[in-house]
Amino acid sequence: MSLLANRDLDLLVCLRALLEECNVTRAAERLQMGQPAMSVALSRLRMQFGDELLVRVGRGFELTPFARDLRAHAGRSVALIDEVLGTTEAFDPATSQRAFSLVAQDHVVAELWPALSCVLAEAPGIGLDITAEPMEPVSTDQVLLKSDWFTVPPAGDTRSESAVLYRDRYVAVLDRAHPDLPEPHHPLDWDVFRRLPHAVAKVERDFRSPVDLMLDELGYSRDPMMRVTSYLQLPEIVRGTDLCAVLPARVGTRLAAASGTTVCELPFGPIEIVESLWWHPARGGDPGHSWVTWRLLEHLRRIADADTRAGEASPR
Amino acid sequence: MTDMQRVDANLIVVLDAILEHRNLTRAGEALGMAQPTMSGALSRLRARLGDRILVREGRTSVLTPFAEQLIPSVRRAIAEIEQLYAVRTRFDPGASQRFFLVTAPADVVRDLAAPVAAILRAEAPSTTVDFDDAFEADHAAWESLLQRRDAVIGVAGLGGMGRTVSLYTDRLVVVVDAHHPLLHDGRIATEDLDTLTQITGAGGVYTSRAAEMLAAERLSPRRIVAGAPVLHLARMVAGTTSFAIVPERVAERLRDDGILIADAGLRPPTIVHAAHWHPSRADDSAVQWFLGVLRRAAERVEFPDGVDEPGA
Repeated sequence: MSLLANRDLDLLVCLRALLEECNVTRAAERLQMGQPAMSVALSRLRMQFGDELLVRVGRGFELTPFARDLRAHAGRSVALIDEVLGTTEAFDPATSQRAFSLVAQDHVVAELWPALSCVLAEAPGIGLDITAEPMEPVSTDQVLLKSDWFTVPPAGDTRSESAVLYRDRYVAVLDRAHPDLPEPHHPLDWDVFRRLPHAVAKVERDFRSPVDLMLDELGYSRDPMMRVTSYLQLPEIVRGTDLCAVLPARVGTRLAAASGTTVCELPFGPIEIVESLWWHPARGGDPGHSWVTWRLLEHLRRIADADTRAGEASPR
Repeated sequence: MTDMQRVDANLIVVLDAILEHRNLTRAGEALGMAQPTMSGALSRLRARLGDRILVREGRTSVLTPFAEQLIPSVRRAIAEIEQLYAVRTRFDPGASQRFFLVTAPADVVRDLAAPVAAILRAEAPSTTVDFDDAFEADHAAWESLLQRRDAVIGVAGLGGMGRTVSLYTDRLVVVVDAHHPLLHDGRIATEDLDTLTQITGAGGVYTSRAAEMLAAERLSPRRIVAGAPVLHLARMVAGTTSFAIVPERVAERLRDDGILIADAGLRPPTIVHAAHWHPSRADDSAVQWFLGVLRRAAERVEFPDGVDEPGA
């Protein structure tokens, strides 16, 4: 008799969702089934494997060590069944009510928003929960599995997958009437940069931006006069003052007109920014996750292409 | 929202049996399933795959070419699923990438880390051990902690439920600065302790056992409570006239820091460090193997003969 004759393999689909989401509600949402049904599946799985699998800790759940070990097997098994039988976890953008979650700083969200809203229009029933900052460092599988995507790079040796969203560079922003503004198309003067008071955005805990690292190399450290939590606030703060702020060019350019500020290049040459999207490898076999990732990247590329053409078409 | 259309992952088992036996009756026998059930499953497979799979040819039945080419992927899926159900009973240390989670006090981690690492490097090179000291003395949290960890190492007799395996012994000793004015030939008079200040932890087994040792001699020295790991507590006596009561293995490591064990005539109880584990892990072969590793590592701690003792 086959070893699997008396097993209910439908439970494996629930098992994978439970282990990857580490949360009964999210697992139920992912499979578009009711939470009571998912709770029943969990208790049957607990009996079957003789292990708690998910243990309640405070308001959330934590996987048992055995469940962590099982997670990779569950992912592979369901993917292989899916390969043969198909549509194990079908994702239908037209009808899905699934709630997704993204951890991204607000200036990145502002940049992604046109593409994100196109995705949300294509899947009118899905939800997207955006948080500005991870509650804890993204340094373990557990944290990486708590949200669908991160624009904050995972720390340590956490395995993750990623895709480039867009490239950018750092620039300086000054009040439009600032007396030390360089000639158009000229970078800010190094002596001016050092003399001016600075406003900085402390976007992440303990994060030293590439600009700080470059300044370290040049033997200069900014002693900011003002700190804010988001790059988006900087142009408004700089307005009408002699402050200087360094921020991503896309943020500075977008907000320059409204805030009465001007963007100029840094005195020590451009510093590139590569904004990427990160996710846990376990999400790889999840059609809903893959669909949203694919659509987001597609729309970003389409919008970028349209912008480029518009730039070429406009008279100089 | 309606429930997801039932996928019926179980069809893969039926499909595997049909591909193997090429006959619906024999496939049904192998699965212990009745003929009508098998017929129903086959028609659902046909609908899902858009192929007849098994067709009559004269008096026998044969697989369609489409069904033939499914064999390798179905076999792979079945092998993977069988492995999943066997994770608990079939642990292969040499191949496993298992992540063992252990809660243990910092001084025990210090004692066990090197021998555990040596055993794993030799026998289970792809496994990982994650030690943490998120110790929850709260009994309500004890079962939850046992469920979330492969083992919780602490002094034997802690907590309530759970199984226990003894690892190694230790005893509490008094430590003082090497130049302590009351230290003569490695001894301090018992009653002199009462004139000194004791640096003690904020709680935990070492602290309560130390308090019992002092109470047994009717001593009540001034106490400074420091919420620090025991190794740091012991270091705090350096350059002062205060003393601390710490495990002997911790004290031995501090000789080079100018901190010595003082015989103060106290009667220390023996402490047994033990690994506690949840009863549901009794048939989890990975956990049982790992508890064996802890025991063997503990033997090397208890009987370090032939092992180079750094700083000895």
